[in-house]
Amino acid sequence: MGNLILSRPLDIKRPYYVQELGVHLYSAEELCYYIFHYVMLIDESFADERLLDFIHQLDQPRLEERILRTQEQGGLYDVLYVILQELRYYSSSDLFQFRRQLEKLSRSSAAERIRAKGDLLFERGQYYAALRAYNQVLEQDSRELADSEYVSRIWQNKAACYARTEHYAEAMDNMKNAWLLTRNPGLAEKMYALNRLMGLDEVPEPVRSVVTDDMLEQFRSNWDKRWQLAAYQGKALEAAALQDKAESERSKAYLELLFRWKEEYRKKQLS
Amino acid sequence: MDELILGIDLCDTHSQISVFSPEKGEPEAILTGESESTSQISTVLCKLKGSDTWLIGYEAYRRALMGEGTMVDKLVKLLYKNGSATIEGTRYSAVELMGHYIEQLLALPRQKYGTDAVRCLAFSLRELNPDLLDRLTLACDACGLSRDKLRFLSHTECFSFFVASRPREIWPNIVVGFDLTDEGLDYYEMHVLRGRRPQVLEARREALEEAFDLDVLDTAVGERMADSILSSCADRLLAKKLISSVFLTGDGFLNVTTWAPEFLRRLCNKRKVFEGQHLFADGAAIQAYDSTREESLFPYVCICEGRLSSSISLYAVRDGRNEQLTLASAGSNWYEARASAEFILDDVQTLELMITPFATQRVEVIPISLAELPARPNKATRVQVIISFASENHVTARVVDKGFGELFPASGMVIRKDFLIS
Repeated sequence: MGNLILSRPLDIKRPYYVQELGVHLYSAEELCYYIFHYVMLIDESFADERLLDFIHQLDQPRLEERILRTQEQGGLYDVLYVILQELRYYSSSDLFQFRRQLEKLSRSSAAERIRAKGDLLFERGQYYAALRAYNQVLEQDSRELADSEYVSRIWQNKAACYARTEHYAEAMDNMKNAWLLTRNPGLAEKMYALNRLMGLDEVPEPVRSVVTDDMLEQFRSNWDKRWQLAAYQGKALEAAALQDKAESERSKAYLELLFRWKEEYRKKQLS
Repeated sequence: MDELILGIDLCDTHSQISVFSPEKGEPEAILTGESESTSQISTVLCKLKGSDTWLIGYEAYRRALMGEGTMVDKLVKLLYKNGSATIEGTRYSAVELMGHYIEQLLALPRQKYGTDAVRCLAFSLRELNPDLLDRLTLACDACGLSRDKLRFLSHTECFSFFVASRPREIWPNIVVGFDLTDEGLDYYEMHVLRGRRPQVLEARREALEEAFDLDVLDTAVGERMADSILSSCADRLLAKKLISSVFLTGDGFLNVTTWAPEFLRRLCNKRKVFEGQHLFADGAAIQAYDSTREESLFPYVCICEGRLSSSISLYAVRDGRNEQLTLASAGSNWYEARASAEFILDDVQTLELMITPFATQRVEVIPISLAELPARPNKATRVQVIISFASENHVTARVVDKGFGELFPASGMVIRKDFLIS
């Protein structure tokens, strides 16, 4: 049995903008949710004047004071904890869980934190921001980067970001880098799929030697199945649903959908 | 008097208007002549030919009979039906006609007290119908009356307020009222529920089937018959009840002492009996005045027609504590009791509204399934719960998906549930 939490709508004139997600936060609840679920995205620049101004608009003078005091005495994670504690949006068990997450984060390396940030951004579809994070990981001087398997995963993630933004050639280059590090045969099918997206029914040069005819046949069959399935998923499904609308409303609905997709795309470009 | 505090008893045949005087502490009826009976202003409207002049009441009748204008009557019924009337080739909606009528009606106190400003205007109506009230509000808009200054009350509420404003010795026990007009014969009964804090005034109205046409009073035989009908009503309604006072109102009871000896003999049996012509208008004016005060003169919960007999509440977490949040309180006017609040769902699949009747305190739970709302992570859905009423019994609850800011945009989905409360 859950709870209803009374929410007081406030007239916030200057919402807090989260650049990584491309969204504005308008309430104390949204701020808490962002901190609780996206703590990986938050860095030292978070507790700035914009945040204090936002808290001021939320009419939380005590929290303002506590943030300033905590900033002097502690670090970013203490500030985040104080915000959640003071706004009381999450229960004490949630706060305990959050505290453990913070401890785990503070023990992890910079590279690991940035990679987690990249993964989170990828999950939210912020592919350009995720790419930036993965590039940052590769620039770190961290012990993880001595592990070729780890670095290969980063290149694969970068390839996935490029593929999702339809930059297939760049995706292939990154995938080749991943392949060169581990020569993992599992990557061969992914590279074949990228080639198919570019209109080529063949495996690319670096993996050609490890792919047998039977494997290629299997890749083809898997690709065909996925291609057919794609017509019933995601955006294709959204567009197909509009066919049920009356003819008079259909073209307007298509335009609205297209407009929304464009907005989403722009938002992702900017983030 | 800087601003008028008004009560209008708006009926289909006659209307009355009372002005509350804060200095005297009581309402005063507007009379168009010398006698008490002139407080009744016919609910008719006459537009003079070739002019934009509108008249009401006796003058409207007179000029129409002289052929100087076109008359429209039964304005309340016309408004209820959302009808129209065509005068000199122009079609006027019922709302427009009611607007003209109210404007002319308001001219009477404005002229008498030398001020146009209205602080509060309470309408007393025989029955509160939501469509009628909406159209009456529109008619008042046309008169330039601000909506926040309007109140709509049932006759039963006005009766209760009128009685409660009298000295306490008049109503230690049950108080009853009879309203005899061309529109019917209504019986009112009010009593105080003992042992409750705050005290509860419970009142009800009964439209009696024994109603008769007032024309029967034009003959001696008819008068005797009317006396006999009313006497049998009194026998039936007042038997075995501890009644302190009886109020008689309506133009049917004008000169009641001359034609209803048997009826009065039954009433005046160790009870105080009063006769007056503007009880509902006075009650409305008293309520209008009370609504302008910071602290009410009537520390009672009134349960009657037009008022909610049950409270509607739900449990919600406020500032970290789980508490019962009342969305609509028993005793409040249903027309004004619309409530709305926003909540965030924390692992909630069903919203539970609790209905608590004032009389019994036995809670009934109305579940509203939220399964249709878009799937989102926990604590990432804000809903607006709106409670509105189509009458004192008919409740509509709507749950509107408000999303969660830009993180999870609102779908605008509305889950609606209609239910009845006792």
